[in-house]
Amino acid sequence: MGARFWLAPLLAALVALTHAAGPSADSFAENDVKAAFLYNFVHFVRWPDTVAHKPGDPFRYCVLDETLAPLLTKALAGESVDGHPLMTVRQPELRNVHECQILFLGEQASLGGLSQTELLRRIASQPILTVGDQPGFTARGGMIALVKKRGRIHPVINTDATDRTELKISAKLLNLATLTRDGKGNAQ
Amino acid sequence: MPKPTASLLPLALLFAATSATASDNLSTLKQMSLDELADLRVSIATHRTERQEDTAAAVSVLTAEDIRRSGATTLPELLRTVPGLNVARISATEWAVSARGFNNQLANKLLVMVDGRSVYTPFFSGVLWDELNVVMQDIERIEVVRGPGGSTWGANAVNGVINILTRHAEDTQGSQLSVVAGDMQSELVARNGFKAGESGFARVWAKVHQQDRLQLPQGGDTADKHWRGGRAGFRGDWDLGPANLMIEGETFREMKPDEREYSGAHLLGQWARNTGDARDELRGYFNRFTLDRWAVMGNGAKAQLDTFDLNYRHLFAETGMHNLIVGTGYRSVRSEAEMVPPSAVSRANRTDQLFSAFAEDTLSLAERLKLTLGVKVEHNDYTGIEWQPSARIRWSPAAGGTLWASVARAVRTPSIIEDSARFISFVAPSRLTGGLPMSVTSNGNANLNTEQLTAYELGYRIQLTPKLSVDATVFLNDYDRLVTVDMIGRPALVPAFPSPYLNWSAVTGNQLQGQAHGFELSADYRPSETWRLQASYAYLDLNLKARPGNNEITPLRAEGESPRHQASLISRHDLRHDLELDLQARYVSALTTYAIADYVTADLRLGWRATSRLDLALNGRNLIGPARKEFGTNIVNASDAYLIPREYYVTANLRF
Repeated sequence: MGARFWLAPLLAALVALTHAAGPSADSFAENDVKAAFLYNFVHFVRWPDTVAHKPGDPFRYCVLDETLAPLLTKALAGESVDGHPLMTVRQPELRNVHECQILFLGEQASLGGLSQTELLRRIASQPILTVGDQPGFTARGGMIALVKKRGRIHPVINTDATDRTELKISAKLLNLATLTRDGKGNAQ
Repeated sequence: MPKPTASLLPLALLFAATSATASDNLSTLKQMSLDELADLRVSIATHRTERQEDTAAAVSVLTAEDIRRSGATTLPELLRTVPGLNVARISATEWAVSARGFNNQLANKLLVMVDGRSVYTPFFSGVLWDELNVVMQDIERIEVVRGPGGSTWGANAVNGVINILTRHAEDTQGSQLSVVAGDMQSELVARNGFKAGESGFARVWAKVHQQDRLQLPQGGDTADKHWRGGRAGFRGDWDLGPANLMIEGETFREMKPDEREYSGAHLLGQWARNTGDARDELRGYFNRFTLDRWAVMGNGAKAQLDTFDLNYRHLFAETGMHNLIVGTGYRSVRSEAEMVPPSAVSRANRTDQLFSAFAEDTLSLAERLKLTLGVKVEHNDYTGIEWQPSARIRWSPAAGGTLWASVARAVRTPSIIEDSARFISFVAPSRLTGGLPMSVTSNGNANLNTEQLTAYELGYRIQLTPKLSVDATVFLNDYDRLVTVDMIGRPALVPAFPSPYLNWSAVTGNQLQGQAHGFELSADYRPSETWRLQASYAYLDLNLKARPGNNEITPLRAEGESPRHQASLISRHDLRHDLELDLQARYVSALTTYAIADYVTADLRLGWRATSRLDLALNGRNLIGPARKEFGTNIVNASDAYLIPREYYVTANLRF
């Protein structure tokens, strides 16, 4: 009789233990890691004061990538920095792109019929942190490429591109990244 | 009839388990810092890359970011930031570094490796931290294990293991110039990284440095000396499809005039190949270490050690509940030693061989319960066959956290000095010597046994909230056959004319045993993405007793050579995008053996990102209190301990 009282919870605990596999500790989806990097950038990049809009105005992550957009929306939900809620803008218009603080460009993504290189050139002096995930992104004038390197997501930063704007990248991010310049070809 | 509650309980438990797993990957990732994110393996099926929270051992990891923010210019100064390690500086060139007791300038229970190359010298058993003057900017990570690692790494991994891994050449492309300039030290490091062929990368680097001598304490008799040195090296990494190849090399010279001079070189190759989920790893290196000069307390030595090491591991693909790794290794150490008479080495030229084999199986007993059984068996030329087994179990309850326990055996093999050297030390006349000078002759002992440890550990770590994680470890170390210097009989009067003296002989033995127990607590709190706080506390109680027949003058010396309490607080704060403020404060309790009082001190670093290619930092070390001794002097560690002063320096790092 008494034994059964003990047995039931014990069995249940064993079932729970064997079936409840948590998030795999050593393997994360590439896009989840990219979304987490993007989320972090707001803390390790400084935008010029002119961008500081009224309190309560959103901080815009414009995303031209169908896979990453929903993940980023999830990552930014409920988050804010200095009173500015972080929000995702999917498929912004070219005429509104100056309202973006961060612009993520997927592989083929561009705006208003421009090539990625043309788009990046057009907004080159604006305080918009341009991020991509193709190795050639920095060579096209993009600022940060999140590339896969030896099984990890690694940031590559074109300091010529960031130095053309008033954006300031923190030492932490710069030291973590591989630095490259214009005309250096594909980032390693 | 069972009551309703009894039947509801299983359901409730199941619910608790599933709701805990619903916390998805993305929120886990958001809690990570940038450097942790960059270190994550993505979408790789292998289970081989264990994260720190998954290991059944007391492990701490220092990342490149931790190293940069510490402002440390030498490894021992950096290791001060690791919870549970005890670091005491002795002179310009010397540090005592250990974990869980037995700290000493010649601390011999901590195995240190750089990219798998042992830098623990078999000449006297221990690590010459001034020989190991690595380029801090090129370190990828440092793994510090407190507790035994004999079943994996072999002999001498008794109280801990420090594994230093340098950066992949792909991560050090471009040029970098780093400068340290301060009132006590200066340093210049230049590095250039480039592509090496279609599928490879390489870097070459050079470093020169100098450290001023430290101040002599009142009553000290030998002034410290200025230390300078230089080194240069390279590393190349090639991606050969399913295989990887790494080759690195280095040559160096470190000089402290009239006291110690070293030079050396090494060449290391490492090859790894993945075949499905299985993996083969082969590593070989040649290392030459030359002790060009060594002079302490009237004894002098010269030595040259040539080490050749070859190591192979095979990691099997996971089958059923088994996850098996096997390996084998060979090492030969050819040594030539010479001592200044009357000291001597009885076997001046020797070649010692080490054969080893190891196996480790991780059994998944249940989804969240893993048992790792491992054993390393070695044959060495000093003590023959040595077995070092371990059993580690870890349980990660669905509610979070990891609980682990282990029992392991580890040994330390005798050094060349302990085995076959004769040292003559002179003790100044005192009341104890009846006003006469005394000469002590200590002899090596070829029948010396290994020192043995059986260690029991229990640990728990958990992420309590998204911002707070804690880690606790309790240990009991049971030591036997610890090496002693046993005096033989009574001092004999040598009636020399005109100045008679006493002569006393000693021989090395295994006459000490005892226990160490203690615990280590650490907490990691991240109030925001730009601020991280780490606090730690370590308690150690070491109780030794001499076996019958031991006549060492101070056999229990080690009890008071390591602090009973240590505490630290580290704050890493990004004040603005371009300003970083780092604080490292520590408390170290008294060292009774040397009558050194407890102290509190702190280091500060203010980092400024001047441009996107230039970082500057202002560093202050030892900012609280006056200059103080952190360690002592005795006949065993021989040279004086000096006053560790307040120190300021700037660092500049330019990438182009």
